[in-house]
Amino acid sequence: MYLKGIIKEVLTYKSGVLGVTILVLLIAISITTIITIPYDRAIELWRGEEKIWIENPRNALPTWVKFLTGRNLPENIIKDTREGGIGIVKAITPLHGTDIKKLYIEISFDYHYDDFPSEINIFFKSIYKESAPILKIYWVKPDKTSIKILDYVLRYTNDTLYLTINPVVSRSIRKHLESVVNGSLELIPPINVALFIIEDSDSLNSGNFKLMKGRYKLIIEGLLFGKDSDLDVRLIVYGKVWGLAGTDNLRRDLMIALLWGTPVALAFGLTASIVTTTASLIIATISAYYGGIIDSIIQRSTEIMMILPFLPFLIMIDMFYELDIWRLLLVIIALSILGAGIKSTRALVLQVKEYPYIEAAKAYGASSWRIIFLYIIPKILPPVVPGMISAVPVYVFLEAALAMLGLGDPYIPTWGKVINDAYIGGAMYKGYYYWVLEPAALLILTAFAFASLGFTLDKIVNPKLREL
Amino acid sequence: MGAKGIVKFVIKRAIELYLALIIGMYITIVVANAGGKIDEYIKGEIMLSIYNNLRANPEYKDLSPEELDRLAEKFYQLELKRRGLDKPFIIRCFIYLRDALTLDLGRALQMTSDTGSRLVKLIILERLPQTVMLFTTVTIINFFINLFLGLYLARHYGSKLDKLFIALAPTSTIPGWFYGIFLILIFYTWLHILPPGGFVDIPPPEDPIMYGLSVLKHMILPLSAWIISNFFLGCYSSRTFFLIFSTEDYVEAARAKGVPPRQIELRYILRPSLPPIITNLALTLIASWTGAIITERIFNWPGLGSVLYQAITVADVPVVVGVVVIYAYLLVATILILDIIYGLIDPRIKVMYGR
Amino acid sequence: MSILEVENLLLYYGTRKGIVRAVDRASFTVDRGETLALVGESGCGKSSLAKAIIRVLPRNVHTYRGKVVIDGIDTMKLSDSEHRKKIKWKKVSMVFQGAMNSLNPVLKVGYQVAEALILHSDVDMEEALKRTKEVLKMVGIHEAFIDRYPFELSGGMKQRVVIAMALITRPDIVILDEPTSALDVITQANIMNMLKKLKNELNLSYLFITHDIPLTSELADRVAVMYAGEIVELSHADDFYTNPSHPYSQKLIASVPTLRSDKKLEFIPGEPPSLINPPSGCRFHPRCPHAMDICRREEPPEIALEKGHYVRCWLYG
Repeated sequence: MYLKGIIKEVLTYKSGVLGVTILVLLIAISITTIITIPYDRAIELWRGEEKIWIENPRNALPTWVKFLTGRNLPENIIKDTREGGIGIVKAITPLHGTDIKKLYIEISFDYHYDDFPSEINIFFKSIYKESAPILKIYWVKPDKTSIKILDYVLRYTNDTLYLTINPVVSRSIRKHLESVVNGSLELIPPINVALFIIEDSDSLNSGNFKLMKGRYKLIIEGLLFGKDSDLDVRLIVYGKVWGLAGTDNLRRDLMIALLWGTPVALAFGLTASIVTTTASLIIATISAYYGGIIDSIIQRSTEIMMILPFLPFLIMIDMFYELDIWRLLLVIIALSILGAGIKSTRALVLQVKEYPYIEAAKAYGASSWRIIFLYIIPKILPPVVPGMISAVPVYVFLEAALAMLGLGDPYIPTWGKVINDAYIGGAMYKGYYYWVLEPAALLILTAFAFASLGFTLDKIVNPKLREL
Repeated sequence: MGAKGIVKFVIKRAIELYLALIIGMYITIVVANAGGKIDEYIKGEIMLSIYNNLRANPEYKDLSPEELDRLAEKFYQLELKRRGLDKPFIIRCFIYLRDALTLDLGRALQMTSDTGSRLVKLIILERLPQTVMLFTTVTIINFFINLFLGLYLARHYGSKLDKLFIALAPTSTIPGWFYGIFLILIFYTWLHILPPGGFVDIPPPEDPIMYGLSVLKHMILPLSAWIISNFFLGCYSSRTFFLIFSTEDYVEAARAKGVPPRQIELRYILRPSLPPIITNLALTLIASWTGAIITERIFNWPGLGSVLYQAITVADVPVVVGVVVIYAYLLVATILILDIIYGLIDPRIKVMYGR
Repeated sequence: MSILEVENLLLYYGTRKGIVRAVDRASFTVDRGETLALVGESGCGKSSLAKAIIRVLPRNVHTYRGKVVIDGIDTMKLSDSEHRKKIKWKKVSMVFQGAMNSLNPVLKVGYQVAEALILHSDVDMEEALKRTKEVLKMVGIHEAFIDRYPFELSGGMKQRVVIAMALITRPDIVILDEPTSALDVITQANIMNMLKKLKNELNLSYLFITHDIPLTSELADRVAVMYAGEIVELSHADDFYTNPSHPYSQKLIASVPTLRSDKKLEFIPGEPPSLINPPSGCRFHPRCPHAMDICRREEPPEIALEKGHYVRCWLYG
């Protein structure tokens, strides 16, 4: 039909092919995402409570960066006493005559990466009735150096020990290193580095820390109280890369935001654009067709709306009434309908109104509604469509802009939100390029797709532009 | 001859615009107050000043807290009545409108101006020049880039350069502030040669010339961001525009007359196309004011947008409303100035109002 | 003495769909003080021929060659700037089709007329405006209008202004491209009378282009008929109206209604040909009632019938 012809013609232009391809890709991503990660689950995940993401490293780069840089950046190493396996030893020896048990856990892992881990956490899962287990924790490096890092009493059954930010551990390490150097050290390496460095005086003094590769051991010796008491340990040596898209400062997998941002962006942009354009079209047509008072009212109202500063007004509304994304969409549409588009469409309708076939229709008694919807609107629709398509990225960026101001829906993950998080999270200073570039790339892709498509349609629909 | 006509035109437009402004502001206030936020704020202010007066007044020094509260409540009710704030919603909003129009924007909840004042008016107005400085500069630069490159491309229509601009036109759908983020990543995070934001070095140089240069240095990235955003589509639209105007019959007639090419460009293509160009400029300027908000946040540029951003983060209601009011005034002023320029160059205006 | 000599003038221009052969081997002369009417259907290349003579070429010109001699000067040999200074408006001027749009909307009318003079002679603005007032009076426009803008004038007035603009430099020949087609009949008559008067007063030569045949009978000394980019007949006016030779001319004359007689109106079957792919051989053969075999195969040459009467038709060869 008419539509097929247009689609075929769009595909004869390179820009059209490009636009359509990207668009199809984005729609495919959207549909897949909505099916595989349902809406509620996505919001739940993105709200990011500690439990959900705790096993991810913070601010991790995407895994494929390893291939780009050639450096073998560390990935997560997880060892769990419940899962057993090579390198995990757990022995519980009851002390005869008491209900105290001796505990010995040894967890070994091989570390062959080129860079230090980002974090080390120990997750305890214990069972006890009254007294918590008392533990001594040792760290053994591949060259057999052993450091007693900590004496620890579990605070609750599912306690977590954040080794790398623990001040007691820090002191133990300082003492240990200073004894190696036999003096005091200006530069104490952070815990995640200290536990993995080659301990020779030169590098320690100069601050030129070198990574020791090999087999590491975490040794936990302790006492369990109570017949049924038990302790399991999950050691996570956090890497610096994770997943396809990396993680943010709350350890969240960025893929979720990138994937879910797609349908949100598309739905938002398309809905805003289509509804605004259609409503503007109808209103402009009514205004031009009926003329008189209706025309005056609509024109004056449009002028007033155009004087209202769009973004500050929108910001004020969003801030005062805390809108969720769909109500925000409604407000944006309401503010956009009476805009500049009405003036130009009206001019077009004024021209079309005078065409002989409109007079003919009136002569044979067609009602005004019939004339408007069956004669006038189909005539003015084609020049309006390219503008409608080109306007989609404007709305997508508008949502991103609101996110950059800290406004917008607080729950749904959107690309703009990720960029804002990155900004606030210091990505510009710490050089977390991926955090900004990934959502940015998707925004650019979307904008490009719609813009290319819009321009191509413009060339097709506006014959004057074809020769130009 | 034309002068009287132009004056009449300007007055008519000014009145029309001011009327529209009043209605627009009223709508703003109604919308802002629909959730009672403005009422809340005003009442809070009244209570605050009443308590301050009571506490400062030695007569009431010895009153117990409950008596003080009762007295305050009495004064409060009196004050509400006096200001007419006990009247229905619609009338209340008119009262607020009067304040807004006279720029009596109240006092901020948390923010202060550089001079330490709480007056919302001062907080906003002292930041206005920076926004105007940055965004007027950008708009003017873009205007001239579009003009000259547009004419050049129209002259060399069909050339490879022409096709390049068409192909790259979609890059303009991306707003300037977005390019800003990239520019910061490149020139600050990676290369460390330009500052990531702010107005001037800290501490600011004493020498006025160095101070000026420092400000210019800080303007480079935000200006570039908006120049890049506008570049390809702006020049392309301009070129298409000039092409359409250069195919007019009177251009052909002028060529036949033997008018040299230079003069044709100036008098027969540029001159007639100025009115719509000015209209376009108006729309661009208006859009740039609003685009300013995000840009200022990203570049930490101390202008109107930053004030708004700050107000958002601390939920300073009167400042937010104040910014919307000032923006509305800015817009109206811009439209009026451009209408005046339009009136000066479009002979139809001179004629319509002058004869 | 001929003031304009056109010989084998060619103008082709390129479009997306192909090369348009707008003017193909046009040849004719116009004597001093004479009016040559150029008639033909819309789209046959008349305007292109006019623009080719005065060298106002489209952007996409493909081929432009031939001989155009004005007042003894071989204009094709001149560079663009020489042509602009010496030929345009000095030797030949033009009144364009649709005078409404020939005037710059943002410049005052007086200025535009004066501009023509300033460009081609050494007068200053004051003197030029004086002469402008004179020439406007000649065409029946009050001198107060020099301060008006085009949108303040009616269609007929604009037409007169454009004619004044074409005359102020006293060129030797004026090309008039459908000068009255957008006007109502009464204004048309007035303008035609004015043109006649001016021709006599100023001893002008006219190349009068039109699709309206009866109109030409008032003014023309000779008539050239154009079809599909070619001149197919060239004769004295009287011969043309009483005894048209080319089948196309015959059809043209036959299709003109006369006021009182019961003439059976004829029309020309078929459609005007495409200038991109003109028919083979004689371009008129698909619509010609006398078409012969040779007409399909070969293009007819110019055949002289009597002095000053040429036809491009195999019927006479």
